[in-house]
Amino acid sequence: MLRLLASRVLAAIPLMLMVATLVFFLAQLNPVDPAATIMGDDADLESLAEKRAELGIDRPLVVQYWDWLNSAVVGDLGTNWFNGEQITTELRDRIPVTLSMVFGSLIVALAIGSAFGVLAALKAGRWPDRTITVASSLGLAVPNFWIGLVLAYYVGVKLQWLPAIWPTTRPDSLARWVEALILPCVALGISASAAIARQARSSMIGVLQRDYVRTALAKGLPVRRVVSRHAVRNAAIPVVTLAGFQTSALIGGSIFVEFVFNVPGLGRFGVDAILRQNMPALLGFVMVTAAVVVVVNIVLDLSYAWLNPKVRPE
Amino acid sequence: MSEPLLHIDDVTIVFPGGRGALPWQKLPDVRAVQHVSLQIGAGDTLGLVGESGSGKTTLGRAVLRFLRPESGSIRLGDFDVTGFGRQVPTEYRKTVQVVFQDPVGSLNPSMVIGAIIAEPLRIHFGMDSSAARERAGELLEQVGLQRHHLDRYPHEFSGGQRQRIAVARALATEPDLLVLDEPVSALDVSTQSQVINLLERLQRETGAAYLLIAHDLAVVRHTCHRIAVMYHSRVVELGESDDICERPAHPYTELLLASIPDPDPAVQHVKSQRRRELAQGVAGASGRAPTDSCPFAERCPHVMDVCRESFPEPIPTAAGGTVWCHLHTCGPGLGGRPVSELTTESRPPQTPAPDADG
Repeated sequence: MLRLLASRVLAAIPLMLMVATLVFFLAQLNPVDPAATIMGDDADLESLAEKRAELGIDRPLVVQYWDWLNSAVVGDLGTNWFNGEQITTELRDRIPVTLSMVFGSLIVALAIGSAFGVLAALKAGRWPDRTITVASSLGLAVPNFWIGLVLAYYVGVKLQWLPAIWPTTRPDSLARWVEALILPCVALGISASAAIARQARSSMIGVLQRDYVRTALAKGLPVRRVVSRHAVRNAAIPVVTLAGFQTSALIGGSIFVEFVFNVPGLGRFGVDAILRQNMPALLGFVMVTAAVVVVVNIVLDLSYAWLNPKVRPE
Repeated sequence: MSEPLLHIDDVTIVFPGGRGALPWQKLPDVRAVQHVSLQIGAGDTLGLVGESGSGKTTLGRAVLRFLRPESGSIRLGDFDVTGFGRQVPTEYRKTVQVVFQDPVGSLNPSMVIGAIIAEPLRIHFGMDSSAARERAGELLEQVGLQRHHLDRYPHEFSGGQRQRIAVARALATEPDLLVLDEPVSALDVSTQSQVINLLERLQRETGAAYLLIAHDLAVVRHTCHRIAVMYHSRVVELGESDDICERPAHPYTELLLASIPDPDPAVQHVKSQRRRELAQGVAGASGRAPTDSCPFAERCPHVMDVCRESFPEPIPTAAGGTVWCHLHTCGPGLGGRPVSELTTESRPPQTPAPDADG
């Protein structure tokens, strides 16, 4: 297991390098001059050139790239072109917000999805199954920002059970943090939970028909234990794979939900960076997101090996 | 037959028809097993033979109480199996065990062998983990594997080894009856004989009775004391193994025997000619089993009108078995003699004799 972890981590290094290279050069295809964006329309050529020199974007691309990479490796992602802040400091404030939202919604998705998926499989063909199937189609079809708006209005504004938007001051206690997270997490997690419910249902139905489940029943195990001990673990393998893909989708989806609930997370930061051609910010955003996806996939590989002895290294 | 252990009495098993393509369409019910009565003595082996779809596996599953018959009763020792409610008594699960055809599918891929075998020991004998492990090791040695295999996963074994593990697991509860559902048909021929010899040896050692479900008469004849031949939901012939195989009284049994290949080309030539004479219509039971005629009528070389009108009553055969076939009372009136006395040229008259069918 430790060797598997080590090999996955080592493999992640060239991957991150490739992402960095690709994003750096792709971003240069942008025809708009960042200096013009910063200085405004009525800046003269001289001050634009001055600004370019100040930002360092008058140097050859390869030099810029090498320079950026060298400092990125030691954890310095440069300064924000617009407000002069360190990109790493800005990200440090935002990463926990988005990550807790993504993982919160993943927990929501896994909890709701696998519970309903297993229930549907156990009642396959009967009304609980049909209801869950219809509900999951609905859950997949409805966009998360709409669910967010509905939740914010009814649960947040009308019932006043939970905050409808993220508090303007940073939440000072864990309880307030969790409180603020619930609605965004539910809004973000619903569609993933629908996808997971479908996968859980079909893989559970497949497993329940296997002879080893019959064998377990013949051994005299109560049905509940057959399900929990023999069926769920084997049915979980494709669900875990799907949960990995869903995590990437959740990071993408978090951008919309952050706007709905006014969450000061990575998503807003990234969108802002793109709209204003803020190169250091954009690169920082992409590197962080890529790192999260890589880490999630490593965790996934490990849990996959834990669930399925066949893929375990000797 | 020794003291009867398992009584299957007039069992009929029906699968409700599903919904059709349109919501209001209801497909007719499938009658998988009709009016089957069988008995197995303690320590005996009964072979249940028939082609795909004949209902043999369904009957086995009813004995295991994975499904409930529509009518009839199944009793095993003191257990009234058909009388069980939703919860099958743990004691019954201990008494009856099963080995499935597919040794890959019947072992949980995420559990080590030791855990698979130890589980029933802990449920039924309340063993702690070290005692269960000790006993699991003994069981593995009993089926010809080694103790160090306990910590391996099912995918690390060959097909024959996995089937040995499945047998060891089944024997863990010290069952009185073992339902063997095509235990060797997924294995290659040399492994088949190993597993069969193992099953025979274990029967001598443990005294468990076997219900051996198979489509291969050669395997069954070798292993079983008695054989029941099933065709399309009905038992058509029942008797001692050698009698069934030497002197079949039902045309379907004869057809099954003629389809066993013989290593001697000369014998095989005669056999395949005989098989061509016997084979009528399409192989394999198709459509839904008829309720009020002989299901073999459409393929039978000796078919008579009466075969399409009623299912025959049981007739004792000359060899001491039982056959369900109109040929013994109507037409040629075989009266329990082997069906090989009829040649396909001298077909019976198409109308039954007037005094037939008492």
